[in-house]
Amino acid sequence: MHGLTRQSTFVSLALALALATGILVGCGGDGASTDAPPATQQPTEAAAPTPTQQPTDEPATAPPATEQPTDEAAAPTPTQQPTEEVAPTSSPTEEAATPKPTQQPAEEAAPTSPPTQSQPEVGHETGDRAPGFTVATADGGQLSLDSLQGRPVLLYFFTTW
Amino acid sequence: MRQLKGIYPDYADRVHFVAVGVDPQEGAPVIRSYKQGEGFTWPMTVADTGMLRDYRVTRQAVFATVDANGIIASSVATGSMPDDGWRGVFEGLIDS
Repeated sequence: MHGLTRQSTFVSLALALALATGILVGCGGDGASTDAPPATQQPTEAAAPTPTQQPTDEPATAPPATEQPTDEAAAPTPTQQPTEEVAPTSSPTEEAATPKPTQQPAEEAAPTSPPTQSQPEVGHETGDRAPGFTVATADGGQLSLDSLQGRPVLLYFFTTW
Repeated sequence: MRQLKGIYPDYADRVHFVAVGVDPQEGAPVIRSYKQGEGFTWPMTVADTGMLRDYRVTRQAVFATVDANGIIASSVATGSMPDDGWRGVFEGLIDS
């Protein structure tokens, strides 16, 4: 009796386990079929891709890094040198441009105008600027007012009669 | 103008004295002959209509003065005056 009881108990436990397992498998099969396999594959894929991509990325990153220094050493150096050589060439151009602002000879012309403005207009009244003239002399020469500068001039108008 | 023969030498080194003809009919030969005949030592020129117009000269025996800076010191005025008057003109021109 006692043995049968144990056997029946064992059987019942086994069935219960089987049912439970079946239920679990059945339930897990639907849910675990999606979760489990990935869970199993994930660790595999997750482990694989990561280490696979990392080395892939590293070499990909590495080569450019290796090429860059090569390019920088080759291209930049010759390219910058001419650029720097052009810069000094352009500086003379800037020096030529600098004299332009120095064209303040225009300012030199400015000082010339003020005196002209301060000078009286040409006229025949006292205080006017004397009208210039160039006339023939009795001796066959010419005489101009400009040639008489430096001393005051007395003009006497006459006839022989 | 003969009057100035005795005055001008005193100012010749400080004032330019120029006798300008007014009559267009009197050319260089006439004026040259007149200058030589009178013994004038200052420059004498023939008439120039442009100059006469600019200085508003309408008759003879008048004068105008220009200072050392080219400014008219005195406009046309009669030249009929005594010696002292002429000396005053010269000296006033020098001081201007």
